[in-house]
Amino acid sequence: MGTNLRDLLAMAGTESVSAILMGGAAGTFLRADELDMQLTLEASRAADTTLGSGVVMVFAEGADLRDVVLRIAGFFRDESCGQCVPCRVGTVRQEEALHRIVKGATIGGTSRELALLDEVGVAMRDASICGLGQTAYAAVESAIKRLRLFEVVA
Amino acid sequence: MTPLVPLVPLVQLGRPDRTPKAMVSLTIDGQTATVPQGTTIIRACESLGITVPTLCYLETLRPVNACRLCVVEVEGARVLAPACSRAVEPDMQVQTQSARVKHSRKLVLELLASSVDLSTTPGMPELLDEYDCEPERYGTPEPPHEPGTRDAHIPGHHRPPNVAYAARVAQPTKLDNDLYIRDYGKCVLCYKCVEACGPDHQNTFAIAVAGRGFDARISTELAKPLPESACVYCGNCIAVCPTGALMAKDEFDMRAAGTWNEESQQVTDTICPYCGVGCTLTLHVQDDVIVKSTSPLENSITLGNLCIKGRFGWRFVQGPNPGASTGVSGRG
Ligand code: SF4
Ligand code: SF4
Ligand code: SF4
Ligand code: FES
Repeated sequence: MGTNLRDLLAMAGTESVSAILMGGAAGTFLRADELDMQLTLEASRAADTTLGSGVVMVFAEGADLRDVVLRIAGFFRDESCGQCVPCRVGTVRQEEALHRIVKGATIGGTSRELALLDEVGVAMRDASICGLGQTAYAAVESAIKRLRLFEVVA
Repeated sequence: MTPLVPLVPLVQLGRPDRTPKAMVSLTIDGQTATVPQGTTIIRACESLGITVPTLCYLETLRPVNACRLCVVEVEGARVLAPACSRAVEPDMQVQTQSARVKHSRKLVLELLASSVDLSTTPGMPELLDEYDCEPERYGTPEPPHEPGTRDAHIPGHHRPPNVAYAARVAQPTKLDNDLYIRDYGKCVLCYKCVEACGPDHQNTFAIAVAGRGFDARISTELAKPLPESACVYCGNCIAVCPTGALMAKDEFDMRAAGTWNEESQQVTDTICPYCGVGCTLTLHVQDDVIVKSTSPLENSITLGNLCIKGRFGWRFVQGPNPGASTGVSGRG
């Protein structure tokens, strides 16, 4: 049958994996335990991810994934064309909230910030004019919900 | 192929569109609307008495669907649709009050209110209230930008956020001429002024959107002061600005002095005395002094537009020393 992620990574000689970003900056992160996914449109959709641009970006163990997420958020803030409100301001608020979490300067704690990110993200996805704003929360959302990168430590 | 949004929506520009149209039936909030093909969702909503909030929409301008305040849910669509510009389709199922719709409208309002001064936007306090907005939850508003700094931002140059603040567009008002002011700390980037100055009405093209993303702003060429720009001071941008970011200098000065009192103003329609076009002038008079001149949007000759004479050339009417109470200067 078709190639799965594990085969692809083996072909590339990948030795260590902490996370994979599928489909580029507008794609989603996968965990190292999700490598059995077939590289097909159907399988990626079923796994709630995307092949997107076709990029498979592998991060080795020890990579600073939080910094990667900050850079993705910065990318969307800079690349927003600024036409529509959800994306123009939403990408700014998204980047601000992520920086507050990473720098330990949250307003009302990490859970509140994550809830805020989700509210902003949903509006960007639902109400932006184009695909840039509609996917500006995708990688961030998967970093939060799949990688649990910003989990509140009890 | 017929474009979804006609390039010039003649009906919206106030001129009767007599081309025969097929009728389209759709469902909005459970009610059936039957409207001519090509009608926008918002107009179909109006036909049922359903109100949809808008910010960047105006009957006399081509829709830019930029603010996204008017979004509605169309069954089967991946994302929400802007009611101001999306044309109806047969058997469309539209929700104007679903949870998704309310969420996005609330967020659009909050994102704006947290980054822009909406204090002179009519109807805004009511809207923020209706959608339970809490713009404070995005953080302490950042201090105003120094004059001209936002105009110099280069697209793509990343400035990391300051975690102590929520970014906003606050900046000093641009006061560079005697006729009108530009307070871009109040600008929501609705594009109305750009359209009015450009292809929709004035065809002067003195202003456009410069920059990108949150740095986007309305600018003259090379951010030159208005007197050095192509502006002809028709004030047609002021007439369409929904936030008070563009304001006649007289109104600005009176507001600053605390003497602007809209409720007490008398509004009279007359005809501009200057030329044969005969634009309808609406004179706004406070304490027997003309404090503002506009033209009705629904007037089929002006569509709300005037030239510098009709807009600003009435100070001679009141002699050199008009009512001291208003502070409006005399001969312009
Ligand atoms: S979603 Fe698209 S249209 Fe809207 S601001 Fe972002 S890049 Fe521009
Ligand atoms: S006053 Fe008239 S010419 Fe000047 S910027 Fe406004 S619309 Fe354009
Ligand atoms: S100045 Fe006024 S009309 Fe122009 S984009 Fe800003 S808010 Fe809209
Ligand atoms: S009113 Fe429809 S997008 Fe602004």
